[in-house]
Amino acid sequence: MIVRRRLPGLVAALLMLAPGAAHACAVCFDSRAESRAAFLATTAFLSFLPLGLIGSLFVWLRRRSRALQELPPEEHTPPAS
Amino acid sequence: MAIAAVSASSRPEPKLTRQLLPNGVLGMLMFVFTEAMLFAGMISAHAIAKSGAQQWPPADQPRLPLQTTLLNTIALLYSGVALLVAHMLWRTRPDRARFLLLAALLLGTFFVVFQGREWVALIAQGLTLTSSAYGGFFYLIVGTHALHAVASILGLAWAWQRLRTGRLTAEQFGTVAVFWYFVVLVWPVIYLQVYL
Repeated sequence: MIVRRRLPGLVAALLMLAPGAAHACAVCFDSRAESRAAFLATTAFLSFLPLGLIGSLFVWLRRRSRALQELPPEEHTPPAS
Repeated sequence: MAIAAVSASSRPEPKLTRQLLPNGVLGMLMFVFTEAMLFAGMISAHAIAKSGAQQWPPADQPRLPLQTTLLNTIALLYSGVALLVAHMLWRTRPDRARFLLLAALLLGTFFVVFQGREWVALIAQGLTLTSSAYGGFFYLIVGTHALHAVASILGLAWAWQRLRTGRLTAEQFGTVAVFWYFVVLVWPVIYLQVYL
């Protein structure tokens, strides 16, 4: 009785080990290698793009700040309007 | 009052510091970053749809004009280069910069008009927003880029007008230029992803 009650849960747990065969993922409508590669590539692209953009701006500003600090005082000018 | 005057006079002189980046340029960069994510999302969705399709482009849909659009892409890239050189020369040689800014403006306008003509031809051939996912993605991505290009061209025209009358500031030029560089640089990515 207990085994019969737990069987659906056990089957579901086993299917989680093979999502490709079960098509368990709601958005993975296609289990072909091309689709999986596209999902992986776009996930990486969308994850790293904002980090890259903000990181690049931060590095550039830091370099610019250091370059300005190295200028002699007479070369300092008020900010351009 | 007196105490206030004494404390104000004893306050150390603020150091004259140089602004790292004009506020307008920084604001435009933040805006461009969000727009880059918008395009990245659309391009990613297109890549996934393309990879999941049995045939891309679909057999019953017209093919996109690769070679003529390549020429248009070159015109847009030249426009970006013209603006870059104008940006470098505008303090020392304003006449030359004005000419180059106008060249960038005209090349950008040529790009948008050429794209419009391409759209008219594709619609006549049966590629519409609802004809297929292929058409939907094409008009969504290229249309969003065209909207950005038109907005940026208006900005360039405004900058050219101000440069002509000697009222253009470094911040204004930088702000307008950053947006145009974005429009120019995102296009090759769209061309490679959508057209090829």
